[in-house]
Amino acid sequence: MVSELDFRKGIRTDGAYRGYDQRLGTTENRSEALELLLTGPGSPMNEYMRRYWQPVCLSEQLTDVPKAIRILHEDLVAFRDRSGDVGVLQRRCSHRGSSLEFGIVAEHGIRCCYHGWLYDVDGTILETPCEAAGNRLQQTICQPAYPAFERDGLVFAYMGPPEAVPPFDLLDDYVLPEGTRLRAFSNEFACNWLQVYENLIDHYHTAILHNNMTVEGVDAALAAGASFGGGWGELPVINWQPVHNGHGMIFTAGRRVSDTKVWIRISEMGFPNFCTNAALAPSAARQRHSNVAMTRWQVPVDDTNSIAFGWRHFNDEVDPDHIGREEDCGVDKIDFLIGQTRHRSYDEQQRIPGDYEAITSQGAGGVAIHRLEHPGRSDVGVYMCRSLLRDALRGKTGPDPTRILSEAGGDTLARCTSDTVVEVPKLADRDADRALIQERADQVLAVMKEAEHVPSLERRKHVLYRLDEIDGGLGPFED
Amino acid sequence: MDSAPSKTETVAAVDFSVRLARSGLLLPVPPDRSIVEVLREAGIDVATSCEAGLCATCKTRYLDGTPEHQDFILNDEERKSFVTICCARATSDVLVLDL
Repeated sequence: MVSELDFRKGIRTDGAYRGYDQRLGTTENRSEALELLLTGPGSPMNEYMRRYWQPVCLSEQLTDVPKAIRILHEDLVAFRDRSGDVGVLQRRCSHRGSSLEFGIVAEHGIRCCYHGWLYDVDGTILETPCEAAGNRLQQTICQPAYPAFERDGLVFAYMGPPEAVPPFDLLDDYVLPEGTRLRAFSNEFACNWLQVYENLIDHYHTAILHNNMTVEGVDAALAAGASFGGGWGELPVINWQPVHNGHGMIFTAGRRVSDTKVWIRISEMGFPNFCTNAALAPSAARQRHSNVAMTRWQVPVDDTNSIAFGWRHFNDEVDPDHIGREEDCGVDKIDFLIGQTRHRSYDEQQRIPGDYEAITSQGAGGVAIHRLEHPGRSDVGVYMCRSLLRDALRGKTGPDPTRILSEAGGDTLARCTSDTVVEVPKLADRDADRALIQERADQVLAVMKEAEHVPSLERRKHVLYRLDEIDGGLGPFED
Repeated sequence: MDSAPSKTETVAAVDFSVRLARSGLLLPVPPDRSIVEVLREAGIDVATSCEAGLCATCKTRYLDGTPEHQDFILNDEERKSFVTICCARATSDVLVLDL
């Protein structure tokens, strides 16, 4: 044990006790980082995100009263009128500025409580009760509105220029395998959007944070609930690369799960703020092949708050043992891993830290400080993500070939996101074995990329056929 | 991480050499070696940290030749005169470093 006597001899400073040197450390980001972090009105990232359909709330939040929301620093109100149409309007009434969150939802549109101006879902003025008949207000004024629609429990809005409205990207995984059920959820983070988004590509953390990273003596059930279990504890062999001409990126993570078998996990990000996860159940490490189990958009509220909106996908491929809980998915709640949301005591946060604690505590005041980071080789994915995102933001990225293919053919889009188990007999030398695992991961990724060009209904069959070509078919587990 | 990832989807690793401007030393860089590794083998100590093109600890000025930047940290302006020698390659036969 160190005592004050130890310091009388002088303090060693070669690589230690450097607090004083760094007491004036900056908390400011460089401009390259701010370009990605700041999403305020008129900022490049704000404009970039507006070019895509963004989820803005859950269908279950649209009731007989309007829902006040804040998206991309803009105060809005969302509602479903009594005819069933969804409206997303700026929150302040064009007349005298009252908040439409106190408006009354009408048969068509929403009526401001103050003087009764009635707005349709597209912002058109339908009635101005205090004004004389035949007034010209309707011809000159329009409540600012955004196009919106509902799909599987999520409300999407397009907040970009009307002449550039993009198609909503439909993935295979929204409808396949047959019987797939999508459950909408949100997850609110008191921090900048980017550090949450980057968490997906920072895959090494899954073998650490989600692997019994708890104070000794905590409740065993809680500790287990904060860990993935199964093959997740194995430190994976990871590689990263861009996909879709730089509009996204993937990681491949290979983990040896037995002397003969390797589990290859692939997850994909689609810029600016979309990502898909493969299975969230231990069965992923024991099954031949499954695809997307979670779809998410990380939507900025402002620069220090963001919301993950998305779907959990329930089907017998991603969760054959039915450990997922549909009833636990909803407004600011999700059904996997303790530590995803803000609803825990500080004591529990400290004893059983999860993604929420690790992510929201990065940096200062809810914003990660990139220049204070000390990355290692395991961080290539995060830095690649930032670099590709910056290129895309600056318009340096060409068209997305896969999206063009889908638009031309009218088919749903494939992602590489998947869990696959392949036969890979273990090599005695650890480094050689890890190199072999990466080689197999590259082969599986090549199969997934090839399958993008196959019609969606043929895709799974094609992938399974190719996997059998690689390893001759998956044998039974030895244990 | 067992293989060096790259921002481009496929990269052909090509032989090139680095010339050190101050000593005139010409060192070939084989496809399976980084510039930093070659320098260290020649007894030239270079400060590095991440060795993956993320931290810019090894950021070095170049004077001639065409580097193939493999980093994720230098901006366009910096790339006109600097390379991260932990991971950069070159498309010219020789890359002259200000070392």
